[in-house]
Amino acid sequence: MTQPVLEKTPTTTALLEISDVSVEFGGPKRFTAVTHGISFSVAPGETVALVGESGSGKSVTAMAVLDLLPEGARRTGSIRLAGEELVGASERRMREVRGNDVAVIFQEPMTALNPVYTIGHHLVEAIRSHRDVDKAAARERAVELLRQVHMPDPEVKVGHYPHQLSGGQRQRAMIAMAMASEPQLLIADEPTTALDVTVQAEILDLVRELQQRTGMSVLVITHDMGVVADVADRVVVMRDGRVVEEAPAVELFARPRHEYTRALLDAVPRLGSGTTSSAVVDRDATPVLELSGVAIEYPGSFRRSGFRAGHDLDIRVAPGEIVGLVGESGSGKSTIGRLAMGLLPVAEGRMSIAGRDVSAGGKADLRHVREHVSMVFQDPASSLDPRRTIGQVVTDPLRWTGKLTDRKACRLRAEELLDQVRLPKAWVDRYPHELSGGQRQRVGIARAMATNPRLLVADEPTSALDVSVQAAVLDLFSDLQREFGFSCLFITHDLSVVEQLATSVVVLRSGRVVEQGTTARVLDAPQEDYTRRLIAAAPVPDPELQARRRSERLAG
Amino acid sequence: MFSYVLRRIGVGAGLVLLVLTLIFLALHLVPGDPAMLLLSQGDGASVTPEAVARVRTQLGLDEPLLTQYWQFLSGALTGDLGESFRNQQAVSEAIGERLPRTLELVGLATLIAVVVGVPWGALAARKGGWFDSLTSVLTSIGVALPVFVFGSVLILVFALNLGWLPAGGFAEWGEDPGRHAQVLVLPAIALAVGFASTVARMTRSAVLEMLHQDWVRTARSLGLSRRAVFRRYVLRNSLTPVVTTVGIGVGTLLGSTVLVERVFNYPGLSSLLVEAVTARDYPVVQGIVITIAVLFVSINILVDVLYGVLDPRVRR
Repeated sequence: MTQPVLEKTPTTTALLEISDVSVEFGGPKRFTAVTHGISFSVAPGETVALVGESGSGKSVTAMAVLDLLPEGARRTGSIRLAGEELVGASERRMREVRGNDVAVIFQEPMTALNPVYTIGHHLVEAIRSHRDVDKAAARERAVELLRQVHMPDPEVKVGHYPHQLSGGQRQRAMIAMAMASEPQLLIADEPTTALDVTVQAEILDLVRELQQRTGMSVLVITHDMGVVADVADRVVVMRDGRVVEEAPAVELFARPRHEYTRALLDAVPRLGSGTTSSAVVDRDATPVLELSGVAIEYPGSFRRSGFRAGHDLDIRVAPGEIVGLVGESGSGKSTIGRLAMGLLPVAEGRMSIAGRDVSAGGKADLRHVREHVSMVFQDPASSLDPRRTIGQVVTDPLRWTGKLTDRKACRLRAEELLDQVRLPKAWVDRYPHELSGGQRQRVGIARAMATNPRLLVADEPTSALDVSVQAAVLDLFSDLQREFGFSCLFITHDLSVVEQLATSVVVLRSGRVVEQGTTARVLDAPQEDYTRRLIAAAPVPDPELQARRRSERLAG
Repeated sequence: MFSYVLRRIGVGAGLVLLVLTLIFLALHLVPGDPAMLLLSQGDGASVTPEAVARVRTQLGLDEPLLTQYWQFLSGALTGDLGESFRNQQAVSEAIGERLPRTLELVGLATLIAVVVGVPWGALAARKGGWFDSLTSVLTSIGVALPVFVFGSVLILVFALNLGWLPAGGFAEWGEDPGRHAQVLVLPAIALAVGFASTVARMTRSAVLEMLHQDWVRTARSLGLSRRAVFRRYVLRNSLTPVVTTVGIGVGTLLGSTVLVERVFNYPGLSSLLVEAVTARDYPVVQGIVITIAVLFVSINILVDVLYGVLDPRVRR
């Protein structure tokens, strides 16, 4: 966008005007409001970002525009689209508006597309839902739409099923569906959350390109301040079902007025912010983990050869070192984590843990691995047994390895562990469902530390958490590391997290090491093109920097 | 898709071979001489060695085991299943006469179960409320009700009291098509009730699950009517688990015909099986077991292929 952004403050000509909108969910006796008196507007051609953490009511508010709320929910207040009142409009009228004047793209394009229909079928459905077009013409238009969203081989891809496409291609197909009727307003609900950073950048570029061509408005719902800085003209910040601040993007990032907005922006890890790991590394000592020339293979089945997910890996983790493993999905970063846990065999090369060669993977080797390595999982909700108290959960590894079997001793150790991760000791008898996401992840960390491991494998431990919670968990993690001096293999897709936490970085792509070195060296002076691309694609919460990067990206 | 189908058929053929081998082994590995077993009528009377020798030659039991196995296999594959001990009728002929009748019964029952069960389950999921509760109660009863009890009630009400339909028996299609159809109705309904209940329950839960899928919301966001969304995005996707249920159900139904054919005095394959078991007519029993095994395997192949047609993610 080249025009000054400030011109687009809400005026009487707003395309979408939301005033005093509340969404209420029906209970057995009465309705409970989840959002309270939301008001904002979207001007023609403008991009407004609705920002907030989980539970802030941002998605519900956006879905209320088209009345796509779950059953039993109702909306009150006034939603005007080009002057027409939509609250209380007939279902018939709402159907005309949906997919015609207002189109939606959703977060997870895998589940948002029906797995039994081809991409072409979806597009034809979208085209024919509002226009009387015969099937052949609709099919042609479908290919044309795929071409507009830069789908590679549109003639072929039109006949593919969703599961045959990559995540980015699926989201392109989703956008093509939304563009079928050239809507005036596009609602994008976390459109890039499930995608890799480089793909995310491409999708955001595409939305902007289409917006410039058609002049549509965009209402983007996101929790990612980097995405906001990249695309938004104006930002509406929500918290607990209320709007806390609304401002033009440039202004919001430069001078956030509300305390919550400031806290939110502060919590976002920034690449190049200068905060680096304070871990003390002893490089001369025996490495905790050493991979030399290691290949990893997923076993194949009968008459099908295995899949090689790692090639010629040389990775060293010194005592006290935090090594960030970064890469996009399919790069093999989680595979290496599983290898270090002894969950996958070494197909080629040598792996040693705390000085012992465990490449053979014998029983004693695996016992040695389990004694010295433990893991923190990505999703704290599903990695804790809902039927066990957190006191039992954190001491389970001790019982499994037979290190501690006495009940009283276990309880004492559980209290100690909870205290270490700054949870109240008294919580030993609580169950995981009573805890918030951040608290559950603390329990996950406590469990991993129960056996005093030499090496902790942390697989995207904070990517399921809100930014403010993520910041707290990362702080805790570095404190614990300083205190106990364990080494860590930190798997993440987020470079800014790596910068904040890791002493060195390994960049992976397709199961191979692209580049490795100290964090400062790799992030400040990347030697490889791929690393440079990754760094450039990671959105930062700074609109001006984002605009500059975008023009560089599009020019290059 | 083509190789997917071929692979299923290959697995099916392997299974049939395995079943044949097991049946062969069952007959030969049980302790005691089959010939002795055949001749002694369980009354403890002694059997002359000459008689045993005669039966052994007659059955080919004096040949080496491998030769016997080969003869058995090649016989079974060419449709030669031996002769009945009772009336010297070829087993394949006896089965050929009875099998179509049972298949007709099972086919009709399946049709009723699907035509009633799928819409019922879908409606219960969509409407909810009292209709859903009623469905839960009725289908629980339907699943729990033994076929012979329900069959007897049907005979009592519709044949004996109301006199609308015959209480049982059979008539050839060629001789009396009207009666042929009438005779089928009650046993088919008796068979279908439990099956329809299972199908309705499966459809209901599948539809409830699909209703909350993201792609349903996507379809609504395109402005499709509720009916189109339900038909093309909910019901269509619910069919996959339903097809599996129906496939397994047809197999169970084959077993249930043993009881139903008894209750309705229907001369199908299962009645033949019961008769043969009572009369220790081993070649017939063996032939029927093989036939049912082949049917089972074929139904499963059909279900697998249908699964591939319905869900593109399965084909590979």
